[in-house]
Amino acid sequence: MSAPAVQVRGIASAVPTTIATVEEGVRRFGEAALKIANSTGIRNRRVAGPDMCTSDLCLAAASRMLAGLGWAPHTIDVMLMVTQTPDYVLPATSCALHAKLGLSKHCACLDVGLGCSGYVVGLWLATSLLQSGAARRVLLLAGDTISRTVSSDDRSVAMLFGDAGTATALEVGVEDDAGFVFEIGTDGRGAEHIMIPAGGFRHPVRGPADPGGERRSEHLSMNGAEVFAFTLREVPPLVRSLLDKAHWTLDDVDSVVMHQANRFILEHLGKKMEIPAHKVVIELEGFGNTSSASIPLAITQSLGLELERSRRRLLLAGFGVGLSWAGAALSCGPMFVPPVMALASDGSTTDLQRGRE
Amino acid sequence: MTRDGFLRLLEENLSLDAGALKDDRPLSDIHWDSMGVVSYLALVDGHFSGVIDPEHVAACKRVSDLVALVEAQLEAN
Repeated sequence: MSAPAVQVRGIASAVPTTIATVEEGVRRFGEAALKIANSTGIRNRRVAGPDMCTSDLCLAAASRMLAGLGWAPHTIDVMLMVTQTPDYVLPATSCALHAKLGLSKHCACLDVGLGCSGYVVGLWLATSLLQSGAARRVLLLAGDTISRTVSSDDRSVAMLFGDAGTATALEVGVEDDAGFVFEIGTDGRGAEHIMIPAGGFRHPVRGPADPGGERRSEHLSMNGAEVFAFTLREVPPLVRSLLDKAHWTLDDVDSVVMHQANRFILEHLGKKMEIPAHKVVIELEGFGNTSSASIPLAITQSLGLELERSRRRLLLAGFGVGLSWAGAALSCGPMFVPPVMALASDGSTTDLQRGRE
Repeated sequence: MTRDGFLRLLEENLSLDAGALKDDRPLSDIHWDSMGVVSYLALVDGHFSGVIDPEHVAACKRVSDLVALVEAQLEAN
């Protein structure tokens, strides 16, 4: 007996209302900030204040999702939360969110500690649970307030990261053309290249980290050259493997949505893999790199209207912290994709204009 | 691609004046930073289909060291 088909029923995203602009970067770092912005393609970033957590953004997205689909909370069998910026050391953020969403006591909740590759890993886990019969409906939350981990004096990362929370609804479906193919990988030898060294139990005491004093040990540090080299080594084979497994060519793919690291990397990868430029989704200018939320946020903003109206073939590729990577080839839509919401600190939301309206 | 052709491309990528990169020029003279390293990695990958180890790039002191790394990459291919 073949595994049941899995359907993505909707994707919703929320970002904070507060905007950090490139002009603020210029005031701090001088003209170098413009050079960075021109390379990364990031001008404005949505950043969470000290009173806003990833769970708040994901709650807004998930509430909109459940209401839009008309799904009663008690029908959710599993909620997965992909984040590296949890509310607490314990309990899991998914458990902390469980009651706020009104989920049933029979709903399994668990967190996944991944970033750039995490959304696709979450899709893989959700799909596996649905295909195994362990669940009929899964709510996948992916988000980070990664800007809160960055030193504002660290020029290498201070102008890169934005914050977002997303919710994706999946369930067992009846359609034949499920087309879900995954490829997951890890290279832990590069773990140190994207790291927050302190604050866990290896180095619980926080303190100075680098001789230059740009950041402390509880801040995010990233070796951009090592991460770029890793990306060049791993992403093209990942995409080739996905196409092979799905029996697709690039002509069959409607859009390629990679982790929104920065424009320079995405354009280089697109060119290297000979992906037509119009198929490579780049949604960085107003959001920045939003870690685990970057792929669903880019889908919501850039492809929302298409996915509400029609079935699309998407190729997803996440890569980064771990170091890890994950790719998916999936056919999905029509589905529920509301506009990206901006969440204020008082809990109110407003819809942003979509990218391709 | 010739040695000079590669250097002209690298100058373009680093937004340097034409002829700025000469073999014996110390990289410290040209504000060689992490963005420069990434541009260099991209240039080599794009034109020679090879990923150079960033640690080797970090060890470069002069323009000639960067060229030698590309030559080694070509030999390895």
